Amino acid sequence: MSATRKIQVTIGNDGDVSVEAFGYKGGKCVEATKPLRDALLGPDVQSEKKPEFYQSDATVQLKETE
Amino acid sequence: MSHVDTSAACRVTDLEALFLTLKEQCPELELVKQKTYRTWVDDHGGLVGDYPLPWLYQLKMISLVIKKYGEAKTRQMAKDVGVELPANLRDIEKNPMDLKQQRQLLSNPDFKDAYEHMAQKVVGKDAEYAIRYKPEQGKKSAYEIGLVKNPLNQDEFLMMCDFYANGNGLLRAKGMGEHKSQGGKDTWGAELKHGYAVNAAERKIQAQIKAGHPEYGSYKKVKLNDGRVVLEVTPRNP
Repeated sequence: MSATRKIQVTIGNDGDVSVEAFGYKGGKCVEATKPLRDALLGPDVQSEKKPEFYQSDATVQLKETE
Repeated sequence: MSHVDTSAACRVTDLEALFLTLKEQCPELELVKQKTYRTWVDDHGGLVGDYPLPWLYQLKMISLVIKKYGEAKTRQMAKDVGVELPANLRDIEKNPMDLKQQRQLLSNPDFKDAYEHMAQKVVGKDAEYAIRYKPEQGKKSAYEIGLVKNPLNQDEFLMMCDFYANGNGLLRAKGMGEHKSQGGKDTWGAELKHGYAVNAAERKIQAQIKAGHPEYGSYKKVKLNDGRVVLEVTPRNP
């Protein structure tokens, strides 16, 4: 596991929200951000997964934006 | 004119967060439990039709016709007037009809009847809660924001507002955010939506910390110079 795992929520001036996960392996970022995604973005939101998402041993960044 | 609208950034899943936001930044407004929300229709009896219906009303309108004729025939009726309904009707949420498509659809009398039903009986009458001026503000003609259940997700409300003339003054309330039209896109209530999103995010993070979620140990909140707010969550065992 990477040294610094964190979840970052950014709220823009017009209320747009992005949820990003840093330092997670594989799909764990999806699991970690689920409570915030469900509450802020809705269940059907499009996820932007970086290539590392599909590499189980790699550091992953997941960004979801409404 | 009648511009009842919702937009991507106004889903509400946490009524407490919305209540808190109004209390913090909108002293002239209140959140009340009521079925109706005032729009142009209240004063003029119908929609003008110069804007497409918001997606949830488009979906409800099509559903009315499906109820009468079945899905296959409804699709054919739409096709006959040049409108291809999406294979999955839920996709209307992401890709609603534009005004041209809606007008084409309404050239069919059954869709027109369904539209009139929406305008007369549904829009402005299907809310669970509403945001309005407090009575002591004396702004009875101002429109109201309706919190309408999302037909595709019963856990969330959609904020609906007629933004014509800034919602007849509603959108000029302190802490709300006026109507803006830019690049063909209409937005309104930016300050309220921003405040709500911050409160809802913070409350969700706090709830996860309290519930012992391993990835939610602590958090910090930072307001950037450009007004954006960043909430950074670190796990219990980094």
